[in-house]
Amino acid sequence: MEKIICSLCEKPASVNLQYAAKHLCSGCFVKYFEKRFLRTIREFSMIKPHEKIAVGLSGGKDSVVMLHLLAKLRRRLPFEIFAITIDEGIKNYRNTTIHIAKRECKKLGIALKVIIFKEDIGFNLDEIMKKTNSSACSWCGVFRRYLLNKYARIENANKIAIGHNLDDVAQTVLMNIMRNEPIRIARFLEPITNDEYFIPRVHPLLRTPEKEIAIYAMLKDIQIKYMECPYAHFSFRQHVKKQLNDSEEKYPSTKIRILNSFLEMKKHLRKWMKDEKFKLFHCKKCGESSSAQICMRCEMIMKLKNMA
Amino acid sequence: MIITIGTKKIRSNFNGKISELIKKLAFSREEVLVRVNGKLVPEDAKINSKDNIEIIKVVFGG
Repeated sequence: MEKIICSLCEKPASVNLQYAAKHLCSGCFVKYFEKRFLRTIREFSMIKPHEKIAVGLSGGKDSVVMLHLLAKLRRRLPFEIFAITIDEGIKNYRNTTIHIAKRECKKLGIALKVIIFKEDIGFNLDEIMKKTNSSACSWCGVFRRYLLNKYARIENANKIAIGHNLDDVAQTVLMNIMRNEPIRIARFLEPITNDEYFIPRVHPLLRTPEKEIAIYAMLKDIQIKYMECPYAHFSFRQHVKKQLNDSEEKYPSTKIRILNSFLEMKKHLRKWMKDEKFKLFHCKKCGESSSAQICMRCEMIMKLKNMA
Repeated sequence: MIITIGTKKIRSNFNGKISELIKKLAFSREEVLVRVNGKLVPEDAKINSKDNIEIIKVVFGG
C-alpha cells in the first residue's frame, strides 16, 4: 500500500480532509477535531460557566461522541451535565442504542434519564406506524422535541445539547429551502422566543462532518454500534442526504458552504422576522410553548386517538 | 486481496486508489471508513492485491 504522510507532522496519515486539502495522522486528527469542537462552543457562546446542560443522548455515534467531549470540557470549564435518552419504542433498534447510552454514562459518571414515548404520549413509534402511512420522522421529531424540552425543564437545565452534525444541519437547511419554509430557516439553531417554558438548544458539532465523528470514535476507541433506524428509508431527509453526499464527493466543501450561507442568510431573515407578527402561545391542553393555540404534539395525539 | 464488508468477504485483484474501490462497490466515500491491513488510511491512498481491506459503513439514516 502507498504511504501518505501527515501534512502537519510527517507521520503516516490516517485521514484525508478533502475540504481542507490536508492529510492528517491519528494524533493530529484528534487534536484538530477537539479544537474545532471547542471553537464552535466559543463561537456561538454555547455554554457558560455553572450552567446545567441536558445532553440529548440517543446512543448513536454523534451524541455519544458529544457526551465524551463535553465530559472532557468540564475539566476546563465548570458546568454540570446530565443526559436524557428518549425511548421511542422501535423494535430491534432502540434497545441497542439505549444499552450504549447507559454504558457510556456509567463510564463517564453522568446521570441518565430514560423517557419512554408510550408512558408520555400513549403510543410507541411502532404502534404509530401501524396506524398511519405518513413519515415516521415527522411524528417522532415532534414527540422527541417535546419530551426533551419538558424533561430538561423539569431538571432545571439551562440548555439542551443536541448532537446534530454538519451533515444534519446542511440537510435541514436544504430541506427547508426545498419546502419553501423561510420561517423555519430563520428560527433553526436559534429560537425566536425567550419563553421560560422553552429550553434553548445548542449544537456543538454543527461544524463537524458526520464521517469525522465516526473516525474520532474509532481512534478514541469509543464503542459504537452502526445501525440504521428502520424507518429512515422512507424519509425526505434520506433523499437529501444522498444528494448532498454526491455533491460533497464531487465538490468538496459543499456542506460547510451551505452552513456558512445559512448563517449569513439567517441574520437577514431574522431582521425580517421582527416585522412579522410571530406570536407564541401556551398550549391549551398541555401548557407547553407553541406557535398555535394547541401544540403540534397535542394535535398529533388527538389525531392518533381518532384513528381506528 | 480480501475485502471485508460487515460479515461479507469478497476476493479481488483490485489495484488502484481506495476511493475508486469504494465507488466500484457502490458506496459513497462520505459514508464509509476503510482500514487497510488493520489500519485506518486516507481514501486517496493506492492499494494493491496483497492488501487486506475492511470497509465499515458508519453513516446511516435515523
